[in-house]
Amino acid sequence: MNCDKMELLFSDLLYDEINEEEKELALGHIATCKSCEVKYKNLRETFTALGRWKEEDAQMNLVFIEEKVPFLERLFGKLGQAGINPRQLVFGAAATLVLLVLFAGIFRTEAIYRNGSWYISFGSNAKIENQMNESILLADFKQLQQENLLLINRLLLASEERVRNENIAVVNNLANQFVIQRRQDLSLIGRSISEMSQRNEGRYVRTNQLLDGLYRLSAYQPGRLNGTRSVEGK
Amino acid sequence: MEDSRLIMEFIDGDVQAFNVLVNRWQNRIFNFVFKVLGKREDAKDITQKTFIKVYKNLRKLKDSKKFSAWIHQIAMNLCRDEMRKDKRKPTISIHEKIRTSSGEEMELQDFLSDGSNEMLDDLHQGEVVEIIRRGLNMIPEEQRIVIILKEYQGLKFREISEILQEPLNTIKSRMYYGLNALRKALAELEIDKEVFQYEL
Repeated sequence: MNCDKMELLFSDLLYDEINEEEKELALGHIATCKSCEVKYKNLRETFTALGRWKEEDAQMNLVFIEEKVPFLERLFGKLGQAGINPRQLVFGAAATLVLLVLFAGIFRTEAIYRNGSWYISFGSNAKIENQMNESILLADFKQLQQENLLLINRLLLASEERVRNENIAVVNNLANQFVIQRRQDLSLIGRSISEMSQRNEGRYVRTNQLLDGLYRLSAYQPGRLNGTRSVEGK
Repeated sequence: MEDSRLIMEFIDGDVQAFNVLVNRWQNRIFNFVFKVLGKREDAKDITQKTFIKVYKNLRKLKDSKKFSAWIHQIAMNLCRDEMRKDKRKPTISIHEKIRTSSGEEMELQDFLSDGSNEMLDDLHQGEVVEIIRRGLNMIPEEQRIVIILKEYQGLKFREISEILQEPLNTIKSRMYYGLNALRKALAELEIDKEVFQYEL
């Protein structure tokens, strides 16, 4: 241990921030070096004098009231707590975006999302376009085909429905006409029977009158006509 | 509750946690600033500014365990700004006026040469503080800050090294030369015997 090194150890000794081994060496040196002994004594005296300035009461009562912290500020605060510098994060994101744009521009990168799949291609040819077009066309065709089948089915069903409805209407119409016709026919038959009956009644009357006339004419020979039915007695 | 826990709660939006932190630290920071600047009212202003700055920037603190070093660094930077603004010089005249324990105002030189003050026992605490304060103001700022951070704030040399962003040995060296310079300053004020020999 030499006096130069002691200059750094004096402070450690004063505030006891020294390990046991160094402390022993330092105290051993002080015990044998008059100059360092005086220096250490002077330092201790100053150290003691400083200790007389006690902590004072600030007589302050600072109170902070709640302030609405913007979401971004709160987020950045949490990022900062997690050891992430928000500025670096934003810068990094911006730099990555710029690099991606440059990369896409230089290598003609294409990335398209279509029909549940991503299509990505690099390079100068339009390979992705062809692949994609072919694939898209096939998919579109299948889709259109299915749509057409559905439409045809719907049309057929609608047509069948319409024809059936028309037939039912015609049958109903005919049935109604039959009923009307039957009523008319029955009415006509009734009238004919009635007329016939009336005509026959007239004919009976006339026949009866004729027979009565004939009977009266034949009254000159009553014995011959006895036992025959009398028209008047009817 | 630990400081780091209070800090987390404050970041989550609990301003009361910050008030607990303020209540816990305001005396310490005030005493630090007061010892650096030497003026009570300035110290109050700077303490207030320190906590406002802490309030605004606490979310940016990466390691909450370094809060002590961080808040001291803020306070110290504000002190330096204040000293630059005021063009305050860390020197003192023995013709400056001080107030004695009896309330009498007199020049420091007269006070020190007064026979009634030969023994430190006769010195009122406020007068001792005044002498030490003036002694501290007579030594270079970089040494003064190290002494204050070490002696009055109770920080480890490693923490002071982080706050001042200087190598550990530089800090220890400043401490050593600072204490020597302070002794000389107090000797210039002719009070070395009373102050130094007290309690020895």
